[in-house]
Amino acid sequence: MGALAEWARLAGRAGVWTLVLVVLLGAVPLVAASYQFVLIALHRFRSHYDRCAPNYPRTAILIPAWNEEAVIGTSIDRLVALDYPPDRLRVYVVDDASTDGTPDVIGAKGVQYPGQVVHLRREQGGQGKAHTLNHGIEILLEDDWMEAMLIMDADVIYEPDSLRKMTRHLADPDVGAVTAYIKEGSRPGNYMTRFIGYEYITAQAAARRAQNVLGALACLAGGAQLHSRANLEAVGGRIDTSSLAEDTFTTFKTQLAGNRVVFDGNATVWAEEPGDILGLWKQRLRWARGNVQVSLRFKHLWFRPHDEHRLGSVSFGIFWFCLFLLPVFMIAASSGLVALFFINFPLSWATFRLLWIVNAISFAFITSYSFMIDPTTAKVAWKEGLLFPGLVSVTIILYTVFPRLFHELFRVGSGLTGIPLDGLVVRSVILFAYAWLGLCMVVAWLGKVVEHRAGGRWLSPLCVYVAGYGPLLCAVTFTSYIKEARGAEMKWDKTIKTGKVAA
Amino acid sequence: MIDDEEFAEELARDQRVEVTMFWKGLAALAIVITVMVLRQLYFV
Repeated sequence: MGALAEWARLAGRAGVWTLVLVVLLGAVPLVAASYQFVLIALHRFRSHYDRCAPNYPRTAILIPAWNEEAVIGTSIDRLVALDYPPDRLRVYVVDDASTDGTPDVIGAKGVQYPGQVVHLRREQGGQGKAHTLNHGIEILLEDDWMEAMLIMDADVIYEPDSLRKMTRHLADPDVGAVTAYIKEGSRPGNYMTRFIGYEYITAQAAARRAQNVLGALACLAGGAQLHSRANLEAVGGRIDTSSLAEDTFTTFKTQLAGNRVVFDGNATVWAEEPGDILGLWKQRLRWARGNVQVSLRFKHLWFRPHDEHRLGSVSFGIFWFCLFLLPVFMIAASSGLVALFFINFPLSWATFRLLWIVNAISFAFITSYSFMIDPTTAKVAWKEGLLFPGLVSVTIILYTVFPRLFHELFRVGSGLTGIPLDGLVVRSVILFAYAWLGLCMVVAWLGKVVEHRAGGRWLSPLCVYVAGYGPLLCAVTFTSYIKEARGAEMKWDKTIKTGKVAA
Repeated sequence: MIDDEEFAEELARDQRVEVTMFWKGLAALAIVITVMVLRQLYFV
């Protein structure tokens, strides 16, 4: 009997410490993100600029277009005016059976820029972007004029110097593909486009520089991917059509073929991104499902270092899975804290404080660094940067850093409102804070639910500011797990473009 | 179009941007350390 009781006691202690470990694992994604930002500082030593040279290959710009009447004309005008030798630049628009005025606009541009703008029409469309691209790639590979191909989206506006800043990297024969810094360019913007603008500092300007340092790039942005002809041929001359993340598949295949992929953070292009939660949800669900498919399809690569490429490096695997599994980390940490609350309150409080102090340090480092990486965007989107994790989480962070200040505030608040700071109130607030890491995703998701209902115009942004844009993306990722597990139909939900980009 | 000399200048400019990333990283680290020191001194 005594031995049994001892075993039960030991099992209980093991259970409690397992819960503590699960909670502290919740800090891993932010610590990994901080590590990623540390790598950016090393970019000066590991960038590809030392191997750049003046290089102007004959470049075919390939634009998939389905009902892009509002944006395609401006895009073509800007492309033809790029600071690049005109005789070495052609624009091919693959019109995916558009039903609006897209064919007429392209036709008019063909007349305006003879020999420089080519209209490729698909009569049977609607199969998705990859099929549309393959139609153009197949035609372009048939003759030998094209030496490089720039794949982009119809709404993307290129800075005049951006293409030549990308092609300079192809002077190095080891480089197969180059991508640029895509910035959110909607004018006038709104709260959502400002969140996306800030997100792109962290996800592109920052993360892709870190990936340059590692020597493994996660994704060539769909709106700005430049390939050498040799690379296109090396990946089989076509884009993968079996997934929703055709650009990530191409990126992985390029590196698996032994070709280097480079991000140039000084080559800037502008894109119009969704201006509401529903638009963002559709776009990101497609991306997130694509990432699930990539994670599974390339499962033999993860955490297996290889001589030919760096996709199997431990750091790259950590970055990939910390993002991919972020909702799991958050729900697990939150559940662990709530369980500990009832089992061992003092330990739960100590664990909570430790988790959030790590989060606070990471948040301060990442946010301040991001603002400095792209001060122009930060000037517009600083509020969204500060509230990226949501108002409640930022409040918890501030409490963790400045507890005495908050205790004073609570005391004053209690005096003014007459609400006593007794055990029940305090413990309820603490339980709420413990559960928040999981709850925030639900509140962010509610923002989508109410968006097109009465009061949604103000309630929906409120949900995002309170719960956080980051948790909103986590809710999307979580939904992608469910959709993939259920084998839901892979639907290509096109992001609506209205031509609001003003670069 | 830019000539080779202008190309070299542009490349050097972009390389300098990457050099600033190092100093910006240090500045971000300094901000974090300052906040944590202040916290320890005055707010815990």
